[in-house]
Amino acid sequence: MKGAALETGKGMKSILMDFMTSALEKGAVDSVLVHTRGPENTFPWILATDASAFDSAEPVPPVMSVQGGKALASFAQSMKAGKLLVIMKPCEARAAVELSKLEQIDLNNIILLTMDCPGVVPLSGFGKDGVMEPDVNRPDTIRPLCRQCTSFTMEGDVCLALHGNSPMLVPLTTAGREFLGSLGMETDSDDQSWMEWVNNLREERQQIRKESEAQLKDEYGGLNGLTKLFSGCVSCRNCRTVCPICYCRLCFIDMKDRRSPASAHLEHSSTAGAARLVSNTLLFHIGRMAHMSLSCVSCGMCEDACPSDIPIGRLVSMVSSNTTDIFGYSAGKNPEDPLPLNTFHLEELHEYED
Amino acid sequence: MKPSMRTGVFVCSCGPNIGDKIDIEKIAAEVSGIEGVVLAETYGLLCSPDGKKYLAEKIAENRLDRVVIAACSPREHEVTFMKVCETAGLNPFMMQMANIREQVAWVTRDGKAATEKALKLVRGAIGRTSRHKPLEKSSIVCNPEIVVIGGGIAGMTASLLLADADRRITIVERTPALGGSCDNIEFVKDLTAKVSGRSEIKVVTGKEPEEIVGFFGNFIVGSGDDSIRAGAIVLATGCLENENGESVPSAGFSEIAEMLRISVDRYGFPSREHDSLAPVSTPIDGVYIAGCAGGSCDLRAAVSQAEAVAGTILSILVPGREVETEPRTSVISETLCRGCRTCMEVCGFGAISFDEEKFVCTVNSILCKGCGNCAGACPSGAIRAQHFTPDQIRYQMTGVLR
Repeated sequence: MKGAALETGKGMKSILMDFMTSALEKGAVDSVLVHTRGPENTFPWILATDASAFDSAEPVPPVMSVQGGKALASFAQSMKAGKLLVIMKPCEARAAVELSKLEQIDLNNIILLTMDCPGVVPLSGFGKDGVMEPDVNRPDTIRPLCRQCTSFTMEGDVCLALHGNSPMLVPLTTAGREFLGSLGMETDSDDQSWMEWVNNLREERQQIRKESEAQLKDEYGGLNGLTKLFSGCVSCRNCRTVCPICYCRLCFIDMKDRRSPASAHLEHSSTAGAARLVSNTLLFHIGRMAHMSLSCVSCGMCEDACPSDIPIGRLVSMVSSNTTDIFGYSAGKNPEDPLPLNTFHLEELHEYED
Repeated sequence: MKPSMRTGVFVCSCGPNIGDKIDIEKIAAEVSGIEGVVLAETYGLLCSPDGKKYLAEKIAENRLDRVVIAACSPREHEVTFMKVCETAGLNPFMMQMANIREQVAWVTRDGKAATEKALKLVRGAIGRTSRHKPLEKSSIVCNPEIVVIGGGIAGMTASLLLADADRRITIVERTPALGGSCDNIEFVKDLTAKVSGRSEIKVVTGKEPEEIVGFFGNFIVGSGDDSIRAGAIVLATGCLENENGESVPSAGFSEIAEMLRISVDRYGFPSREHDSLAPVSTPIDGVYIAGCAGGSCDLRAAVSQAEAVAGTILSILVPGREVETEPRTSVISETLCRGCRTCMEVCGFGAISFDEEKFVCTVNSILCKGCGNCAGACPSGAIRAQHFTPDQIRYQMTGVLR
């Protein structure tokens, strides 16, 4: 992987701060979407058009409270107001790519800049026992889904590679290459040590993921297992609210005409003696997975937001890897790959016939 | 069931076709007990003139507001029975057929099992009609103008004949001049001169259709900034010889075929409605083929096909004629639509457009044929196929499975 070499000796935050300031000041972009440090250690997104707003910027915050894809979709449905640089984590960039395929974000004129992601602290653990940053030596300071994440870098248009001999900005798309070019950056440095770091960590994470999935299947496999898994679900629908992919205005589960009216249950009951009421909890979770698993980017927002500590993120992520495998699709990876359910092939999926 | 419902069930024996296999009396007796069913009778041959009269009388006499007809495939007689309902003063969309001939009597060997299965289908149809809503038909006047694509011998011959009947024609020709592949023959030069002299014929050269939407009576052919409205389209695009010496359609024809959603053979030529019985018609109403556009042919054949096309159009596309629009269209809820435009990708009729301002999709109810593709594909459940609502499907399923 070739990239633009940067000066050594600086940390991730200051490299990103310098870079976005220079991009804005040189006029390569008109605005920057980035996190900032608000009062009481909160990290709201800001859309900055002046570099002075970067004083309090926090490009790689220790927690994820609003998924970047969701933040971007809130205003970038059609981008006509100049070029925008977005500093976001790899899973947020993948969500943005998925949302662009669903026409919720217009990625023209947007540069997604990601980095070697350190993962984030679970929202429930942030600030407790002095935990203010994810610490690789303390697994409990990193969300379970981050610990098994294999797509922790090389997403979006440009990626900040920090774990090689010297830091570099690696262009991943034509737009990314052109953007670095417009800043006068040569992208001809090659650093094998970074790729080695990536491959080693990826292998390690794949092993963790495999073990975690085996455990999940073992404990919660089958309908009874799922019932057990969701027995603590309080139907708050937080998982849906925070999910960047759940973009419907009204969820199927809340649509009145998709539910049997009370009279239908009574009618059924009066003819059959008793009517079994379908569990809305399971219907919701299985229905949600059927709707969004092909686009799930494994960001872990759902799990972080669950008040009952249900490993919902790990479950959906596992289901997602199974469903996307069927179509040879990777959610959010390549903007050119069409959404599998929007693509018709005359000959496919014969193994599922009969 | 709503207390006010007055459903009539008619089980047709279809001569011996259904009656010999299925115990239709048993079906009528069983369903007569269902709430809302006020009448359940059997009849020998409902589609006969006497049968239709009987049906209309029963609907009026019993003030039926819903009708279930257990008979043949709706492909065979749905239109017939919808018309009977209309004459009897009942909205035709309050009628539902249960196909107990093709789907039961002709395929299920055991008579008892067949009766059981037929009964389930009839129950399903009764359940479905309980959720039916009247839909109103509307009609629009046909545009008597014609678009001829291709200005060669076939296109010009057809245009001149149509012009003789005072029709207005637009010839869209890809090359800079009329004439087609035989433009140096004397006879073709004469034709070109005649066409140029006719005020009824407008010639657009150097252009190709870029978008074709609509249906018989109301097509819109977009080319550059032009938007040509017409009731019928003549494909007179000619052919070429490829490097293997085979005859293939002219350049640009595959795009036209795609815009019209017309099927093509292995060389790319459009399929005809019937090779012998309807050789100049295509499976798409209002689209006709003349000359080499349908495959290589000699001059005599090209001219006679052009004449046949002109005759067909003059007899079908009569000025003032109205065509009914499909009332069973899809509707998109503006409050639920997220503007993802998945529906636009699956619509085969170009009937959905995107509203940039509201960031939602909308259905053109005239172009929509009610296939329901969009309703099935919408990830947000924002599209409803009228007459195929989730409620109707659920009540039909409940009726079958109970």
